[in-house]
Amino acid sequence: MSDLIVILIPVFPLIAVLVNGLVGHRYSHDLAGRIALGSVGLSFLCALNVFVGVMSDPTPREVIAYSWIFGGDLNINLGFLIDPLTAIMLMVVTGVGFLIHVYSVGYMHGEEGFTRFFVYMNLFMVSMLLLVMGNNYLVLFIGWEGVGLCSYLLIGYYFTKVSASKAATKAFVVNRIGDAGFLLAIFLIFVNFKTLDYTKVFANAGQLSTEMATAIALCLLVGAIGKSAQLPLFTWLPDAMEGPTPVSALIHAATMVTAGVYMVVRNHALFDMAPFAMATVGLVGGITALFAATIGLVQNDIKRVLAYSTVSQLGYMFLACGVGAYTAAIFHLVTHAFFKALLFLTAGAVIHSLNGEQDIRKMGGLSKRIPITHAVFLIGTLAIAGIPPLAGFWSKDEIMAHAFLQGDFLGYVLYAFAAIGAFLTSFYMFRLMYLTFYGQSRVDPEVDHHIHESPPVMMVPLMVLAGLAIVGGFLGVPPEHGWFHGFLSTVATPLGAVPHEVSTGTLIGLMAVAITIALGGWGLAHYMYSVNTTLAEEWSERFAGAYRTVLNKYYVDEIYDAIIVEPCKRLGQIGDWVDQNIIDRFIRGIGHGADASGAGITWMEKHVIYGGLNVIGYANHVLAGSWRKMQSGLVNHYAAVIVIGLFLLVHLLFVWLVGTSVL
Amino acid sequence: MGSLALLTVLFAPFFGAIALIFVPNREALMVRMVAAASAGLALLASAYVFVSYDPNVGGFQFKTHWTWSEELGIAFYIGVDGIGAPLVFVSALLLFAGIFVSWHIKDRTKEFYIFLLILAAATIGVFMSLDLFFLYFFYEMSVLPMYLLLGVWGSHTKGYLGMTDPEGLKLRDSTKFFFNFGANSKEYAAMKLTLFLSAGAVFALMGILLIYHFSPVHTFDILVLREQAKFDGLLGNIIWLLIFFGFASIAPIWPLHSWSPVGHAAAPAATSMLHAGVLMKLGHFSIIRVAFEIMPEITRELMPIAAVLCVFSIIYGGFVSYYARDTKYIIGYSSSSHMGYIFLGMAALDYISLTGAVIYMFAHALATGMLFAMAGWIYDQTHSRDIPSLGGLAQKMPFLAGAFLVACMASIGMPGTINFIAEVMIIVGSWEKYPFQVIVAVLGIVLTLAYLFKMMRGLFYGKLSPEFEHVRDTSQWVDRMPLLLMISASIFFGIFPMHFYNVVRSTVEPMLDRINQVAPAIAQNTAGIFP
Repeated sequence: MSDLIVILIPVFPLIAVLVNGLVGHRYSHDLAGRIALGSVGLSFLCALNVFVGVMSDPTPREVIAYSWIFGGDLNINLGFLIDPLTAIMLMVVTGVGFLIHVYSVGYMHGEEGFTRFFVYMNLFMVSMLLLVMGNNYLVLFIGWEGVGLCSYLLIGYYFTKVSASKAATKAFVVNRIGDAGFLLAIFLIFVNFKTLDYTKVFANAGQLSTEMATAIALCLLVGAIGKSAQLPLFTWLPDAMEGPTPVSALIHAATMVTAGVYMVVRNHALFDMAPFAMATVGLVGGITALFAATIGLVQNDIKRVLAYSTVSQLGYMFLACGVGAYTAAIFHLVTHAFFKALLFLTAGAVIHSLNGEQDIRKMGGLSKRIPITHAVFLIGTLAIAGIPPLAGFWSKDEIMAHAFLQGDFLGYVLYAFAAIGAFLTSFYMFRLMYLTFYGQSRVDPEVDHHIHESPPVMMVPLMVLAGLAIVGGFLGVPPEHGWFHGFLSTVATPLGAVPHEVSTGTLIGLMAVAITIALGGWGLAHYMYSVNTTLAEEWSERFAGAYRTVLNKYYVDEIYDAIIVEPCKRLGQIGDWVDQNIIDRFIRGIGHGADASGAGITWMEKHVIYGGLNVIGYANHVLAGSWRKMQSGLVNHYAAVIVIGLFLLVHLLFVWLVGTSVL
Repeated sequence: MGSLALLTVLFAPFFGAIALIFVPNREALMVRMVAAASAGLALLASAYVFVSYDPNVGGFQFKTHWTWSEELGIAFYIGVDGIGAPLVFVSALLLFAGIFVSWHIKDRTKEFYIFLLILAAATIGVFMSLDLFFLYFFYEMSVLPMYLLLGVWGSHTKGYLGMTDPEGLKLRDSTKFFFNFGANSKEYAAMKLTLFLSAGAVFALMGILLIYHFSPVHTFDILVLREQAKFDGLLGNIIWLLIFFGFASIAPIWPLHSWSPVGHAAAPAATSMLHAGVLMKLGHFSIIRVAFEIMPEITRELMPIAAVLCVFSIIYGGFVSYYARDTKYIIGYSSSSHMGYIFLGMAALDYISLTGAVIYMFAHALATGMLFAMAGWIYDQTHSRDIPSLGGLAQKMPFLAGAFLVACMASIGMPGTINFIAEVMIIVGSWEKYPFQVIVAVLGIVLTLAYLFKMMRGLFYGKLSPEFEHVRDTSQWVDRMPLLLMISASIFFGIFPMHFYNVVRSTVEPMLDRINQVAPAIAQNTAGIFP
């Protein structure tokens, strides 16, 4: 594993972005798809190389790719940190990412914006890789913003759909609210540590006061909540299903939404210092796990059910972080990436074969029509429901066991949340299963004869993911002592952790409870949707109020509209009003003052100055009036005057010369 | 060579304007070519100045000194420091881009370009003046062409003003004001803008004259004044306040902002670009140049005023933008909101935040320049700025939609653009002194995203209204080039900020040393109104 290979991991997709983005319109969709796919494949191979390297030598190493800003005490590099946590994340991101890219080539075939789609997808890969590979908070933040942007672009991929563009904007804004908290955390870290490098921050984390550590951890948590769609910022994720299905699988299930979990685990040195923040993390996770699961019970859109289940499963990961089970959180992240990507992609295949139909009330009986799709969906459902020995069972069981074994009140509360959540998860997933694949077909007749299996380019990734969903759990077997735990022990062990000293009996007991819960949910779903199919309808009528509340997602969107969006608009309106009526009026006041003084001056001009002038003018006028009469215009008058004048002149001459008057 | 380049940046647009007088108006292409050539020359020269400014030496470089009046102490004295150099560069860049943005202006093309060139040249003149007299001279000179550019080539704001408080509008219309054109007319906007800015300039002039009068040496030379003039006590405070509010009115700081959205909305695209992009920065720049350089102690005492007012700027502009429906109003109010960030960066008197503030001036110029250019294009195509009546334009204008997205991203400080670096530096630097303001600023970023992307959605996504079937994308290179130029500058400096950072830093550090070191006894008071 050389530095170059590490750097190449995000560079390959970046090259694909530039090539496809700049000249992609000049060549065929096929070539664009191959470039996109090839770049992610190469990136996966490099990541594999790095992963193998880390397996043999787990000591963290830093690779500086580019010095961005330096000087004084501001020193920021574009650098990567390679340790077991990064290695695991790299495998998930590039591996699952590659499979989803393969699938997308089939799914998006023939779309007008095919090249654009892959440009966004590759850009997402670049950002996500920066996010998991960065060695300092700024690189993490760059990736963080980048994935948010790509999520925006991909949710709004069908931009002529108003709902899609609204969902995209909403996702971006809500994410950004979380990012505001994250930014504040970064500033706090910088102010306290004078650096943003992980290694230096974590090495000195012990010197923080508990209050400061709590403040930083809570700000980080706000960021994580926004990105990972936890309460109270989860509302964007269900709406994000407006994007194409591979996007939902890659971004809104397997990778981006787990970034919050990755971030908490990465910063566990800070969270360990702050018990209050830890409890908050656990509670947020626990409540979200339960809350989202209840909404999932009644949704009728196949992708929305999966979206709420994602929110709920992410809640489990946060719950795990909250009880200090960081390894379990990452373990669940990995298994979840497998089975949730599988479920989404399979849902995409179902939608594909039904010509775009997403409403499960218009499905049913598909197991005979598309058996392979049915089989892989069943595997995904079994995995998420927690049926052993599939992947989900092991990771979820470990999280629940950790909560239970914490042994305090909070631990039991969280365990209860998780257990009820697990029951609901199993129920709604099998409800989805029954309504989609079993029973009577409720498919529209004109769609019905189109039903077909998807092409191999879509099915092969599904099968690979299904395989992973089956065997992925064995990475962490036996619980707490599996390969996974050994691999992550250097990076995800909480401060001062002691291994649980519990009897095998307790562990087996907890497993038995978990299995019972999972099977119970399945059983109930089977009863309601296969045996007594009218029961669901009866209940929804009997508890109509509660049913409607849950169906409308507890009116959370409406509440946010009323308490945040509308007040913002009102404030803007008030600001506008102030501008027009107060500031402008003040200016106008000055104008009026000028006007008034202008009027005053005018009056003065009119009455004093003009008056004075007029007096002169009038005098003139009067005089002129008297003299005017002389100018009569009659020639004889003038002649007479001339004669008289001449006479007088001669007379004067005489007087002057002779000295005596002639007269 | 460097001083020659600097002179070229200043005089190329001037001579361009003079040359245009002799070009007949019917030779429209010739007119445009002359304008573009002079702006291009200025751009090249300014790029040379920016690149060859040596951050290791620091201080004022490329100086030219021609005595004008010995006994009055006035000299034509120009030169740039690490703050002036990037601003000169971005002014020339926006001028060059603006000339191409207004390529399709048919009405009195020649006169339009003459005024545009004078506007830009005067702005550039302020950024390089080392003499208070000429600083003021250029400052006033930059305000006046705005009046004509708005009044002649502007556009009326129609009834849809968007932000319509009907009562307020009625009041504004009914008022028997000494200019009674109707509240939505471009004449109203032009008049309001000119009066506001001229009034501000008069205050600033009073401050400058007081400095001249009470300094031991009677000179307008900033470099001499900063060594020899000492102001304190009531007189010093009065001078500082005159200078600050006089120049802040163009910045514009709340509550002196109300001319700016109206002005931006009415102005033609290139004028809005230059105006929001660089003219508004004259305010910050002149405060730094005059108040920070000449009166460091008083700056330290009184700068918390800016820290208080900037909160209002940020919040106020943000909320009004969120409510507004008119594209140019949104961008205008967002500019006035973003100016609050610069004031925050200046108020903290920390070298990271002040460096960030200077970079932000540059970054904001590019981002807002792009937004105004594109809002102008959309207006030209659709004759509408009312967002609810638009929509779905991405189908007809894919290139513009992409560019608009990039501009929005730059505006919200997405990593990879220079705005990100600026924003982070402002916020990191001012955190210790003004944590409350920083929280407001961070929330302001969220708000920025909300209104910009709401606008993005309203303009480009959704269904295309049939009346806009005929609209065109920017397809010719003259239309695309200015956008690509601004985008690539924003991204280039976002990825390679090092030289930029060093240049600004070389000037900011000694300046702040002077501010923070003189009489440290008072330093305790600067903890701020909101500790």
